[in-house]
Amino acid sequence: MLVAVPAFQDRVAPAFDFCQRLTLWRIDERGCTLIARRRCAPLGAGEKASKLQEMGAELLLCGAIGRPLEEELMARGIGIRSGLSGKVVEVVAALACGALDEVRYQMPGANRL
Amino acid sequence: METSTGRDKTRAESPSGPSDLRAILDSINDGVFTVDGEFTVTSFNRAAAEITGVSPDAALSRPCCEVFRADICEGECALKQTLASGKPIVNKPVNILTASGRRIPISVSTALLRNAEGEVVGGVETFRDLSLVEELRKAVEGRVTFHDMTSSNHRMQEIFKLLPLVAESESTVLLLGESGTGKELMARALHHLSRRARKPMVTLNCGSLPDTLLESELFGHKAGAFTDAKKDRRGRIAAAEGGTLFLDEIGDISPALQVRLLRVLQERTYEPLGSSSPVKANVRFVAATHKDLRAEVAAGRFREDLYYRLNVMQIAIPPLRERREDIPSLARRFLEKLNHLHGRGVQGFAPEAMERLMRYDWPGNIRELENAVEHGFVLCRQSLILPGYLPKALLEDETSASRHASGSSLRQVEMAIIAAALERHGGNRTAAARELGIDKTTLWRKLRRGKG
Repeated sequence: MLVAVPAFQDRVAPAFDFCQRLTLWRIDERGCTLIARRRCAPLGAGEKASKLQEMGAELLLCGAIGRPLEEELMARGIGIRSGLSGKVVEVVAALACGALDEVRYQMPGANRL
Repeated sequence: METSTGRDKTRAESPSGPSDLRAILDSINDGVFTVDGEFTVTSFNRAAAEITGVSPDAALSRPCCEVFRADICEGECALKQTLASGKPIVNKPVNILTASGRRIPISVSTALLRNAEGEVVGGVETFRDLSLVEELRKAVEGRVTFHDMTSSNHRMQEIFKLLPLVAESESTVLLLGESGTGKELMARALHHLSRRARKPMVTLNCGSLPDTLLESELFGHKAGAFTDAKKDRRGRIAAAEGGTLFLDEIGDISPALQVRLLRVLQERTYEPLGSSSPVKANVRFVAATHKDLRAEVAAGRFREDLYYRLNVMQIAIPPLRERREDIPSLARRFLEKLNHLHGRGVQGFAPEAMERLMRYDWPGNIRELENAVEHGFVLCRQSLILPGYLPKALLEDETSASRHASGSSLRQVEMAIIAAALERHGGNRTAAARELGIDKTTLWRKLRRGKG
């Protein structure tokens, strides 16, 4: 599975709408592999969704996300797990081992997202 | 009784520690929060919680960017700048994402936070929700934003009203408009408003491919259909199954392809190249062209039956020179996007530069305007884009100016420049008059005359 994670320094970017960098990970039986880094300086919702689609992402792990962008991604068949925080590597690993629901990966106010 | 947990300890040691100070902060309508030197939230007042949708308990001890989720967090963080320079920032316009995923405009101000000994221990940020102000400003200007398209032009607003109705129908739509008028944006809005929004929208530019390749792109092919067809390949119609297929530059397709496309539109079936089995197509077609298709039909270059099949619903997008009132807001929007992208703070356009933008004919329409703003932005090393920073075509376009004089009056141009200045200053007439170099009573008189 190809998973996109917006990154700010080494952490999950706080808001996908405003993120400037994307990382793309492959998660399979061999583990989690970082396969691409892309600059995605602020683009419109449609452009950002196209960028994810071009990268082949099937799932987006992110912090906050605006409703229009969320709807755009859903319309394109890209899954979303929002309201996440923490180091990108740890969040991806948590997804791989089914631990993403742990409180430590929740961003503040995430229960209302 | 205070407990010894980290969070409560932070709250107890925070600058808003005394309960009366906390009560004061909670009683004001501006959001206020403080951070330590590591940008960890150390206090968060009631209004901050209401504006962001994040409770004080959830916000305390967390990185401020994860609480605040602002468009400046990854680049021009106001608190970081204040902590680095020691200088306060006042009323910086910012957008944030609330906990419910709503994007709202706010203005932020920052200052250093010192302890009793005068040592810097962090920073304080106050912020104000501007969403109501923004809504009022748009209402006053009569500007409408619709699916990434912004216009105060009455023809565009008619289109915005019409789009949901057109989108709801399953009819084929023909978008007419010069190159760069935003036909693809319009097609995208149609798709998003339709029942097909959760299915893909696929775009094919018919003018960019040779005929044989275009046919294969559109219908797909079976292995062995032609020399290089090593395996089966899905076409764009199949890729858009259940969704919308946007065929741009439809006026450029060959007569042979016109016949095949007509069949798809009539029978809703097609055959991939090299296949003899028909495939059903559940696709909504939206076509666009910059050509006068009626003239193409008259000249025998475009099939009349295909024209009528495509032209079930027609939307004609006006060129930019016929909606000049949108130029200031579009130019400002492009400038904001560039500022954001490059982390700069170009404030706007000098009046003479805006006048040039208003006088030009824009044969390349919105796309050309966007490029002109980028040209000015790249060369600009001051706070305002001056005329000299704009592309040569705009400076040499005297013929355009004289042509324009017959289309729009000097008063209209003047009103547009005044509107742009007012927009830059959030409706503040004194500031707008100062920028324009005129007295505020003169501005008031001109506004009154313009409305009359």
